Amino acid sequence: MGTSTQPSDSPVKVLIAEDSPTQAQRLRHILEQQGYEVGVAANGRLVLEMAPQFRPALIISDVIMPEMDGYELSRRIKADADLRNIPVILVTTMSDPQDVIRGLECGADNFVLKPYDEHYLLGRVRYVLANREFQRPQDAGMGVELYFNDKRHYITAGRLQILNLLLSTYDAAIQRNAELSQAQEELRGINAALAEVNRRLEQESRQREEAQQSLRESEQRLRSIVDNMATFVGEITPDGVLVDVNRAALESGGLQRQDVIGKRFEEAGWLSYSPAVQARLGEDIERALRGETVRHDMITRMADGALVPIDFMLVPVHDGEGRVVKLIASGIDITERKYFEKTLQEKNAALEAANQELESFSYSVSHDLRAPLRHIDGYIQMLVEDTASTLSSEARRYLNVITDASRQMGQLIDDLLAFSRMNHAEMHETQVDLGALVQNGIRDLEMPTQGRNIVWKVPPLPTASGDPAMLKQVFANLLGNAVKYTRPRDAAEIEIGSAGEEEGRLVLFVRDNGVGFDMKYADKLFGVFQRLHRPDEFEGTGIGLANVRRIIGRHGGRVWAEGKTGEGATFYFTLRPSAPAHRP
Amino acid sequence: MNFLKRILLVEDSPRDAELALHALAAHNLANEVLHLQDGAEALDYLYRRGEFSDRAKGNPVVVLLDLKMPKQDGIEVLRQIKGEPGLSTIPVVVMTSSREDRDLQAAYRLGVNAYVVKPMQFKDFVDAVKQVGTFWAGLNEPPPGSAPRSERPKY
Repeated sequence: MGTSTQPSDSPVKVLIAEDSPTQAQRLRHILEQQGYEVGVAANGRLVLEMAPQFRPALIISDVIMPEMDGYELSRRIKADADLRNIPVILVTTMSDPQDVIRGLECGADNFVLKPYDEHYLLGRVRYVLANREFQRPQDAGMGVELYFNDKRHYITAGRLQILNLLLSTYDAAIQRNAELSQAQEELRGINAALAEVNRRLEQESRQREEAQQSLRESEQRLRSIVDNMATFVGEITPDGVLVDVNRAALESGGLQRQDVIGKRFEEAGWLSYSPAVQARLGEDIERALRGETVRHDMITRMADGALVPIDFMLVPVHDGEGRVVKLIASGIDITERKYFEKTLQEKNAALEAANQELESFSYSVSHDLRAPLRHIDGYIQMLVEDTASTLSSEARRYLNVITDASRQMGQLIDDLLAFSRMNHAEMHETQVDLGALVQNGIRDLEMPTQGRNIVWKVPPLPTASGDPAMLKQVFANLLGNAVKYTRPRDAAEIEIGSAGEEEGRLVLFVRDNGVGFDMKYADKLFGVFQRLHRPDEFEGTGIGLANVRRIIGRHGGRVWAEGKTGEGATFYFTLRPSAPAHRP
Repeated sequence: MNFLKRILLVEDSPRDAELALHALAAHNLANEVLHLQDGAEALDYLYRRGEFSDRAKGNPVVVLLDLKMPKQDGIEVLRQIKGEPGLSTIPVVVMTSSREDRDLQAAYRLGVNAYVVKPMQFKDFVDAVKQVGTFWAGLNEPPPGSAPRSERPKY
């Protein structure tokens, strides 16, 4: 076995017969990796030419090759005295038992089955190289004739060669069998996988069906909602063509589904009464296509031909990339709203007219009613001037009464005018320092408080929100009343204060220890020209508290009074506290 | 009529006019006053047209103007006076019973020179008329082209 061990410096040579360059290249690569020196010939003839010089230790030959195939090559080599000891491995598909017989006939030493893997091939190569020594002495082979598939074959191969061939065939068969088993195994695996896939497919298909069913149900539900709405709804393509409309829309116009679907919206019936309205819709669609939500009142034609106002809206629907893919048009019948708007407008106009009338009334009152009073006063004065010396004292008293009466009348007119003006005066609400307002109010009462003994009780007061001029008027009236109705008291006590809150509003009060009033007349206190005292007891026109109530009412608050005859009175009113942010 | 008086009183109410004249008389101004009863008459006088076409040239030193009058009201007269180049310099004092905002607004917008609300009590009324008369016909220097001061009474 000395020659089978390869010295590292002289590699074992292998000659490859292979017409496919790719195959040859692959084989060469496998062998060179293992340290063999490799020669390649494209066919049998070239091998025969190369072999004498190359002196390969082994020839590996493809079977099917042009010019000279692997069998012929093997036969020639085994017939050549000089080359016959070189073992030949045939690379074959072994698709036919005939191949084995032909291999034996041609004297090939071994087979490699195509396709082969690297280890299998190298195992074959090593086996053949290891056994080539044994081959030589048993040179003489007895010729054997055999029939196979009705063909006669004459085989002269040695026993070892036959054994080798059969072994390799057997090996090949086992290999093939193993491959088959594996393939079968894989097939089983694939089948199982397929079954699994199939099961999943079925499941998915079932789920899809269920999903579709629930989608259908959900669509039906939506459809029934949309169809049973009072709102008219339609879907329009970006070109303005109707794709869908709900029942309300169809019924409003007395239209059939098939008459409107596929038509341009403006031509579908609702708007065809007016080219101007149709044109407006065209503009609306353009705007909506630019992404705008369009909304305005519009007139639509109903089934009976009536023209009815609707609140019309056109909303663009975008896709994921922001393109407008459709428009949703909707309309709500606003006949009632319009009716109420119109009624309201008429009422407002009537109110406006009434106000106007009232204003011109108060204007003429201010101008015309005062003039005669002035004249009465003027002529009486002139009369007195001219006749002072001749008039009896009784006549002079009469003239005084007339003068007083006319002045009182003038005061009533002025008060009534001021009260009427209070209703129209514009309110300028700011933060009002009630403490300062009270101090100013007390100062303004200097005249009527002269010579009086009055104890004022004024604790610090909060800031309120209101019109300063109006609130000044409130305190002037309330403090003035307190001073007036405490006239019989020595000392009079007047207290101004705040009494907590009521529904978020400050409760303020003005209390006095004056003549008070009977609570059963409490309601009358705040009426215009309502008085609980005779003018010779306490002067006044009875407009002050009416003004207070009007002003507090305009501030959103309320006013009330508590009292007892002979024991004083307390007047309460509420005001909005100033916003916390503005509080000092 | 060819006279020219220094104070023009435009007042539709004869009573008010009488009271005003009474007040002015108490201050020796009554002779200076021409009383006309409505706006149309006042404008004719100022424009020297109609029955006043032959009156002497010159403007009164002050026009005392009531607001509420038939035909042309005071505001309209004021508008015409202040809108006419030849008349716009005449001082105009509105004397009215009205203290209404809209009248005050309108009068001042049109360029009224003073606005006096007639007091209710005669004593105050007399006082007001006296102050207006003595100021405009005495203390105030009228614009050129106004009626000349009458001969002062000789002492």
